Amino acid sequence: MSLQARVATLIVAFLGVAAVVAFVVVKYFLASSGPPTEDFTAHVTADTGTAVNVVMQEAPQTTVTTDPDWVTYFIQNPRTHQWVHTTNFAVPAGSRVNVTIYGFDGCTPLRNQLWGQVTGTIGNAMTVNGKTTKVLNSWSECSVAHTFAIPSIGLNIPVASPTSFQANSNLCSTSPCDLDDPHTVVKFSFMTPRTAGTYFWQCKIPCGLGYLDGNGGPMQTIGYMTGNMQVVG
Amino acid sequence: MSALNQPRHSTHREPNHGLRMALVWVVLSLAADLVIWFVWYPHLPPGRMTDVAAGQQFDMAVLSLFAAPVILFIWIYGIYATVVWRRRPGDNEDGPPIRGNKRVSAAWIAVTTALVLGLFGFGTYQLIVPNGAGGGQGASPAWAPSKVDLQVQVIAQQWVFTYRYPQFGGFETTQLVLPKGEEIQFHVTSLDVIHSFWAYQLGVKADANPGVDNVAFARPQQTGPFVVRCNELCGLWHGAMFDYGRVVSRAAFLTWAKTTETKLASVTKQLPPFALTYDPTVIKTLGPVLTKLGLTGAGGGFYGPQVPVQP
Amino acid sequence: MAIETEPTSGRLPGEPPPPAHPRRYRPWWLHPGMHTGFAGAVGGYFFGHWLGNAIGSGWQQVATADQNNLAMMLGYVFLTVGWLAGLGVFNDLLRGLIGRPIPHEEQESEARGGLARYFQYTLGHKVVGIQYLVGMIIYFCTAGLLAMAIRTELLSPTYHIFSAPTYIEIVGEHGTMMMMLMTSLITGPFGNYLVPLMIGAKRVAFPRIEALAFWLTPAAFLILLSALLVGGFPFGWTGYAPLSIQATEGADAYAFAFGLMGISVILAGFNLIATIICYRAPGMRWSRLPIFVWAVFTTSFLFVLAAPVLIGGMYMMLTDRTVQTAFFVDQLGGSAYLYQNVFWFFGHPEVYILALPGFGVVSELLPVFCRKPLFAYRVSAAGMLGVGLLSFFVWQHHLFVSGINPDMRPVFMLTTELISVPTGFIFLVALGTLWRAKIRFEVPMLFVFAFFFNFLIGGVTGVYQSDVPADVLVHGSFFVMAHFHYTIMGGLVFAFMAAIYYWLPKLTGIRLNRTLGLIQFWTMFIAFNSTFLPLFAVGALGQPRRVFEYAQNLQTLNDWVSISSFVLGGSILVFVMNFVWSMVIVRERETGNPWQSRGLEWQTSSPPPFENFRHIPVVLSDPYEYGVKDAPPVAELDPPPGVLAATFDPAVAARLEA
Repeated sequence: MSLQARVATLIVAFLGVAAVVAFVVVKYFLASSGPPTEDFTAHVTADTGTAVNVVMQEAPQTTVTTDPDWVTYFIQNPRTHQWVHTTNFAVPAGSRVNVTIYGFDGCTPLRNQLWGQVTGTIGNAMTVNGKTTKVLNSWSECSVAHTFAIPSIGLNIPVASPTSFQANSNLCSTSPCDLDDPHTVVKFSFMTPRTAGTYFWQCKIPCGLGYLDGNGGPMQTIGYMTGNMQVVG
Repeated sequence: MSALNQPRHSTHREPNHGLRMALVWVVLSLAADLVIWFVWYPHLPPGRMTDVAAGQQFDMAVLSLFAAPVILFIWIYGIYATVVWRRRPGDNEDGPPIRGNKRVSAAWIAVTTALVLGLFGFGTYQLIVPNGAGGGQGASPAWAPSKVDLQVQVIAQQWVFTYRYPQFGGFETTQLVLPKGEEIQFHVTSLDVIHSFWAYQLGVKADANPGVDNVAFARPQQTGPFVVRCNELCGLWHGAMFDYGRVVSRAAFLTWAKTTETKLASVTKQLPPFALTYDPTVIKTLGPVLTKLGLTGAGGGFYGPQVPVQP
Repeated sequence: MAIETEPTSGRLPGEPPPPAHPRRYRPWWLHPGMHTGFAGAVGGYFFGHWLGNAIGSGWQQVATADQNNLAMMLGYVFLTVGWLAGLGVFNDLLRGLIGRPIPHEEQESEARGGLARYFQYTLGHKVVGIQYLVGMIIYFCTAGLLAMAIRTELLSPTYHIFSAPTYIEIVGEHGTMMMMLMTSLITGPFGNYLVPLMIGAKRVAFPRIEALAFWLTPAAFLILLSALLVGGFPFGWTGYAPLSIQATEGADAYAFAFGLMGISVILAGFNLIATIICYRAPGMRWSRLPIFVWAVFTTSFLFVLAAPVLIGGMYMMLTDRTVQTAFFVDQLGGSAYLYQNVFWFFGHPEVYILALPGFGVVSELLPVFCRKPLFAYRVSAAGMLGVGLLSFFVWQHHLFVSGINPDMRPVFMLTTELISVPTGFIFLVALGTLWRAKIRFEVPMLFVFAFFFNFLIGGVTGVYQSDVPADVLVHGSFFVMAHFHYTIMGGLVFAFMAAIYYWLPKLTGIRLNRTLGLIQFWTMFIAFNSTFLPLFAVGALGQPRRVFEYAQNLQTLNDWVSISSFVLGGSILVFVMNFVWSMVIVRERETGNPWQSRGLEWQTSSPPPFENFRHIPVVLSDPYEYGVKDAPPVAELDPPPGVLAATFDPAVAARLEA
């Protein structure tokens, strides 16, 4: 090949490789390529004393994705009140967050019963269907479906499940679930830390069915049973 | 090094390269070792919060004392060679055909072997005397202290450490508080995958293997906070699996332990009895609805349709 | 069908090739090559995936997990079979099975030249060497880009550019790609190309196996990369169970790719051992073997003995993941320790597989640039063999704090300390060769010096870690990371650079640009040390490996390291540019012996002719006769008729004379 042809081929090849690398990075790697972050910080800034309301549900199936048999959380968009399939949310620093979780999934025993105790909330308690509860026993009762835990701020909530055998056999089978299906309503409040940052949250119930120890699959995939709480200063 | 055979065509006396290098080496090594011992040693990681941490700090210092002369030897030789033995412009001759020197080779082998065997002896002594040097020794530790004051179980799970104190009713907590001056026996185990308990300032590192009780010993000598990190990749949030512990005075520790035992009494009732390892896939006290749903334990039904699937 | 009494398919060494098979020359798109290989791979993958679904989609575990590991694994198996079939690897085998004559196209394709044969299953060892060279550079640069991504994330302990799952999959990809593929960084290109030339042979013992070993590497590379499409694998390059059993589909890609590369290196090692033992020219005694060949020989034994254990471990991991065996699952009777021991029994020889060829290269280059014989040649060879042998006895030093039998720890401390003795022989030989030498600081020699500088630091910090109490402090931290980057990158990769600057004129007849080489060297050396030296401190100060959040007070050090790593990446870019620029654009011819080396490989033309030598040479001495007045050349390339014949069996000699 002549010199010009070789130079031209080289330049084209180099640009091609650079384009492929850029594409892979943007599409697969950047944090922005994950599930969206529900923003609860609008109209509320840090330390104003105004509370923020977060509404979530956990569902036994994820029929909106290619992994229908995975359990998942949904978060309700604060403005449109639509259920969004994400587990990332943003809240203001130093503020009170009131959380409501609809528990549509059935009961499963915890691997460590310590996580049946509510910690880190205001009053160190939560309400389950209106009744104040401080600890749930997931071994002797059919009482816990999943947990919502933010370990770095000491928050741990065992999300209650429907307790009867009949309810557990008729769980909602499409997602997001609606209030006709058997469910519990769990409410609690906590204060967000003063320092801004990203705090991860996770479930502690072994709900990754089909994975060893129940801790694989949805348990380790952001958008399902684990996510990020972004505290905005 | 002894002078070697000179090529016949040279007419000048070859300077004693070995002596020159040796002199520079002795001076620099001495200087480096003095700096290492007196300036660097007191500040070496991981500090002196426990006896085993102090032992590790001592080991690092001694290893550095030997490493510095070795490194300096090679560097001095290399620099000397670059300066003195580089090819002068216009010189296309080969160098002298020296194929080997038995005495030099024998000396090298003898010195390096003696050095590593010495380090081996030192390392073994330093491993045995501080009761395993803070490393995990498995379920049957070979070098244990004569008396253990406090037993702490470290339970690693995805992605949090919890701690159980069997001598205080077996309560389980996410806070690690330790008393100063007492010999502590850590029992490190895991509930799921392999983790590793690394209490940096305590100088304790023991892998958490499922179904295994990994024992490590330490005696804190100073009070203060310390960092606990997971040191074995354990899944998505391994990097966020860390927390902080405290070493406090003996009295403060007893107060904390008794208060926490009372505070956590209700949840301690729910926990399985204290054991050296746990198998969450087999739970004997499962409630009736759970067994009716077909469960035998937590996260156990991994294999085959004959094993209940949920979960 | 008549039985042939003179079968044309077998050939003896030194025998002239049979007349070329009368066949029309086919254009490249009709000849099996990479394009047909890709087609076969895609078809094979879909078939295997379908088969896996047909078998396993009804299984409860598959239904609840929404992933079928069996389908992934069978997909990869048939992908590999399809890839090889498409390349034409099985063609000659099938021809032989059904009794058709096997064409010998090598000489005509060599005569035709052209680029097509580098993309085909070509049997010539020189072609395979160039294929390995380009392949290895591509693999190295891809894994290097992943390393740049890691360092970008570690610029800040709190602000995360990549999400946590992405970061951990990048870490795993980088580590696995490097550890898996760089095993053949030097033995692949330089071992395959140069060993026959250095021992005076016209070919290797098993050209088909050699070419097959190469063509498994792109398959392994692409399968490993494809893990990123399914979410990667969250357990780093070591793949500890039970996390690797728990992981999603990316883990199947990891296990299969690693196992496939294990097969590749076993085949490569097998071929090299047979070649070195059986194909040495007359007069090439073991005591005259170039030290590089000794290093390749030892590495090949490590390949053949250690890689099967890896394949076993990966196989067990795959059966645990697909068909629910329980080798590594504690609550079902297995043990997580089993995996750790199986893996590290391979893993420790693996790192010596990475280090030994580097030793060979620098020991080979030192005499040339010092103009002196290699000092203490026998000690050097003994050092290589000693390192290889002892490497099988040290593996539990990776497991000091894991809860293994505590009495084992002094034993492995001893063996690990002892292995530094034969490793030190490389330094003895270097220092002796430098003594009163006339050092020529060409670009390859600069890389040799850098090798010794880096490996010294790497080796000494290895001794730190062999001391169990110090290991309790540094195990699993960035200290370990800095140690192995110093020995592997500071050792192997710098040696690779030395080798490529030294031998590229021999392999291709083209020399690399000297100015760009100097720029690359100085940037790379300074940036490399600036990147990895602070990491010893970072690790000793408490930062574990593979974490994306670290203590705030370590941010300055991490930032320094990250910026240096970008510069290091830049220097590799300079290298790639130099390589591509010199090979494709400038093509500055260098057909002589630019380094005035006495090596046998330099006595041929650059690049060497089809069968390397017109006649098998008779070797007269080792290639280190520098400084000896009126020394004869290293070999007699045109031996008088009777000399050669006398070394062969009379029947063979008669045929040679004919």
